[in-house]
Amino acid sequence: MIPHFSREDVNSILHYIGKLTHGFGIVMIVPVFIGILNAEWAPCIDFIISSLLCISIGNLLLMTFPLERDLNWRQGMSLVALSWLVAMLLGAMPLYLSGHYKSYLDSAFESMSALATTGLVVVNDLDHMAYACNFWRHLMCFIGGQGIILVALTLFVKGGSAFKVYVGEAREEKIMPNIVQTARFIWFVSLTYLVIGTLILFLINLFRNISPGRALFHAICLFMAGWDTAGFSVQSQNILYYHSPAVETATAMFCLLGAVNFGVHYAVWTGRPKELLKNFELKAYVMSILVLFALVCVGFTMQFPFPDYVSFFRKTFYQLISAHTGAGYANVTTYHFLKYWPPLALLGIIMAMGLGGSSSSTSGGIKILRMCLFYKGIKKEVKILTSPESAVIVEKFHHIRDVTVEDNHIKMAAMIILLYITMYLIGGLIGSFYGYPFLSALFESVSATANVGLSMGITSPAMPNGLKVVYIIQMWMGRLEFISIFVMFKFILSLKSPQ
Amino acid sequence: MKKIGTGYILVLLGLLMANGLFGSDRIPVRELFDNADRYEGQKVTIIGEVIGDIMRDGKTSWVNINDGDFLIGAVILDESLLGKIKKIGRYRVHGDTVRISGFYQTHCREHLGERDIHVEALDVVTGGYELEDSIDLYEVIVSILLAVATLIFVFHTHGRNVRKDSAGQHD
Repeated sequence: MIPHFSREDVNSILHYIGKLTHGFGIVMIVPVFIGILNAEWAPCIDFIISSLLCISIGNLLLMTFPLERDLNWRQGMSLVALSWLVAMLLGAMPLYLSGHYKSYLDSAFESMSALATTGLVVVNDLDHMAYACNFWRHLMCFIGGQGIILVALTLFVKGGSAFKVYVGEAREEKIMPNIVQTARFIWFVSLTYLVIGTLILFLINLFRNISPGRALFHAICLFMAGWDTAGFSVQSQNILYYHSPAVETATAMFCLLGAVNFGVHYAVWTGRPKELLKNFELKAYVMSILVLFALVCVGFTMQFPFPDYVSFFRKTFYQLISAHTGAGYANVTTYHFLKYWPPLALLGIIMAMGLGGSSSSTSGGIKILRMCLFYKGIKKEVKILTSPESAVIVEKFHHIRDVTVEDNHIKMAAMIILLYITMYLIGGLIGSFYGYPFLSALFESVSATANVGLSMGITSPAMPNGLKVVYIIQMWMGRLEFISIFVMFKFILSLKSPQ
Repeated sequence: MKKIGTGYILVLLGLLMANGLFGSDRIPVRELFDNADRYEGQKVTIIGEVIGDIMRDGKTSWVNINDGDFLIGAVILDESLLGKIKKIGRYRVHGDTVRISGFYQTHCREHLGERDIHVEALDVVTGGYELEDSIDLYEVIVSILLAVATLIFVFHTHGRNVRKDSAGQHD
């Protein structure tokens, strides 16, 4: 019999929610400094109010719900699922106060889009947004990409609770023996790349005569959104704003780096660069990019709107990388997709978005490792059926270390793949129900669930509120990879049902 | 909120006036997107606000123009035209509303497939202006009240922890 949730469970979850809320309030002080630097007094007040409100609510929860013992699995999973909803609502506060959003729902949509590193936007007049508020949008991408709980792990969560919340946030691998050390390593890698990436983009911007202050602001924001495969940009035209192949090359590189498993980063950083050539997931990822680009190319044989192959490569390969890493950066307009992309090429982009990047990376979607496991599972079954009954069939592949494919790996991978595909289709059907063409609705649904952020024009402040809620749910479920959310629903239902 | 609302109205009024003053040859950017084939390689005129930054690639300069609905990149080679732009749209700044004429291309060969207008003439229709950063008194009062509440919480929690610690030591 599955045990019901008790008062102790509620206490533990709300205690950690209190810590998260408190922490979020402290992080909100960063944009206040950005605001002060740029003499943006009204946005500063917005952030001070939001920050103080978070700290007060956090303190209240910490006082009311004292922690009795370490989290167990169901508490950890439920905590993660609930934390992301709470973070969405808290992160939306300063956005709403900025006046750039039509409603609190719109600011919550943008907040979830940033935290889940999706990149779909419903902001009004982004080009006139305050630096402080714009920085907050990108900072949320960075926090969400690392994992809200991962941030908390390095600061608040101790003891046996750590691994339970880490797994709940769709990260499975322990790169280092201790989970807190793993979290700190991920931070170390990300912050090191932040410095390098910001410097590269800063120099490109500076070289293009953008003023040093704005060059630095654009560079930090673009890197945070690129590395964490969120795809937000400082200006409403996204990457198209820069009209620069150099910016596109740099951001594509950062997106690819972000979409690589942190275990591979660790291997390279600790003097094992051969992992890059041996890693099965990475090899499959490169193969997938090439195959899907071939599909896009075949699509464009039907209709070729570009003046030459260089322009074609620039626009289509960038979009494919953007889709396959889950970044969602766009160097074409939504109109371009609608008008010039043949259905087969769009299908290539949809498939790239749906597959996503590597496991334990900042990207979303099904993830290449699951496809590898699924492929190995089919291969194993075929071998079993074609070998003598006494034969023992073992399938192996190299992913950081040599891994033997077990039935439970395949079962888990197949289940998550099925859940993603179901969610993609459900979102597409709901979009069609709202009157959008099915291909556009499917594109948008896959983009939301796989946390990509490319759009065919459905996502806008004017879209129906119901669809906004659907996409919020898709972004949330896609980011956490379903399981922790199912545990949370079980928790809520068990609270209602009699013991 | 009020500030942005006022900004919007001023932008719209500026664009409406500009349209009225400079005739009906102005084409909305959306029209260029919708009927790209019709305008491909043709001389077009658009009116909109200069936003963001002026970016240079060698002798080429890029500016982005927002006509109120859509944005498009404009390529400017003539330094004297660039010199006419005094204010660029950002936070608290409404950029110059300019009227640009030039050749439109959906996929410009020279600029690796960019959708752009190669500008031949640029005039400032209405000069840009700065907006005040008005602080809402109500928001200030709320933030002070919250600061007081937070301080009370912090001191209360700190006091409780100290009492707990000292009780633990006595045990």
